[in-house]
Amino acid sequence: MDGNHEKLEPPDPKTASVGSVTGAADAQASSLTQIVDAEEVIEILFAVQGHRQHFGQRVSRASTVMEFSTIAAVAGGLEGEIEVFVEDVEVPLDGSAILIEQLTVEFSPLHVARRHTEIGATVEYNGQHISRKFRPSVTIERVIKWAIGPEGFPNLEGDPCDFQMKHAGEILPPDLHVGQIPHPHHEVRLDLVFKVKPQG
Amino acid sequence: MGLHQQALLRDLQSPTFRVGVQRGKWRLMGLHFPFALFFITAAPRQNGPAGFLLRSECSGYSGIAPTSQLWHGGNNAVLDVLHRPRSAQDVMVAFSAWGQCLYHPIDRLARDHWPGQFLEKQWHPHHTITFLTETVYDLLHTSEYSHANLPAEALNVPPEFVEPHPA
Repeated sequence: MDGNHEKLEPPDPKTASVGSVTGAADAQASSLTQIVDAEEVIEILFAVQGHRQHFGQRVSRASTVMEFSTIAAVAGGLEGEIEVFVEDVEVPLDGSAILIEQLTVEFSPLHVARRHTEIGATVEYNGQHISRKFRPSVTIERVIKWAIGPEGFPNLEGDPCDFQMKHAGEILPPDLHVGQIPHPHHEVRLDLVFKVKPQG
Repeated sequence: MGLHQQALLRDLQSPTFRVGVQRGKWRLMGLHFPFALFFITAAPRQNGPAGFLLRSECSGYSGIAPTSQLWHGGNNAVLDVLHRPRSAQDVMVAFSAWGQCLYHPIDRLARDHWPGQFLEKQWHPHHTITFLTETVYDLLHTSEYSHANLPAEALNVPPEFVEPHPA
């Protein structure tokens, strides 16, 4: 279960072979496995509460969640007690667990946040609004699914991919974590809108 | 290496860009500045490819918006309209043959076609290359995207993006 592992170097265009994308992807995956298996230090990609950009930190394969959280907190400038979340999981990881044993098979960045953080999200749509609290590791995609689902706005249906969430006029990527949006006083106001296609 | 190329390399190596790579959303296939070649994953469709190559011209990065085109890697040329992503009725507007660019506000050559509109979709100097890859990925993951008839060789990587070249 090491889907969160990231190879230590970004894709090198000079090592890509002439050929299909599938071939290049296979080569990259093979390279990733070798690097992970051969080294005691791996890089973990993660989000930090209050930061839009992601972080990458090298940690020992034997690191506990607690040890990682200390490193991640320094990188992200967080103080106090820290919690580490798997994406879209609202229960933090056990601090004594070995970090890489907690990672998901399919890659997703971890989320590092201050202890007990909950963010009150108010979503507006067509003059109506709904609210609920989310842990900071929850993705915007999940917020959209909630907003158009049975617990969300009445009589609003559709494919989540045809909606988007905006914050202060900015379109939010669906895999952004709620905790990555600026949230003074642990509150955030979002606008649910249909995707509008620029026409000629 | 010039400042613009350095800035692009920095952003291509950033954790945020690499998160998208690890999620399988996009991948840098090659960089021959000012050109970058990306593979952008498309939503699964019964008659559709795994994704498309996008060639982006990034001179002046990031102060100036990139301009991009879907690319036929085997021919090392612009992807023919017949092979571009289609809605149920026609080629998707953003990938139409309007000009040698994306027909979308993010593109340097097209942005002025929507004066005062879609400001949130336009490029600004504080954006990184991830804003472009995220935008194109999103276009290929709307329900409007229906299918595409893309030849396999269109996903080959042109030699200029593979062979060593002067930085």
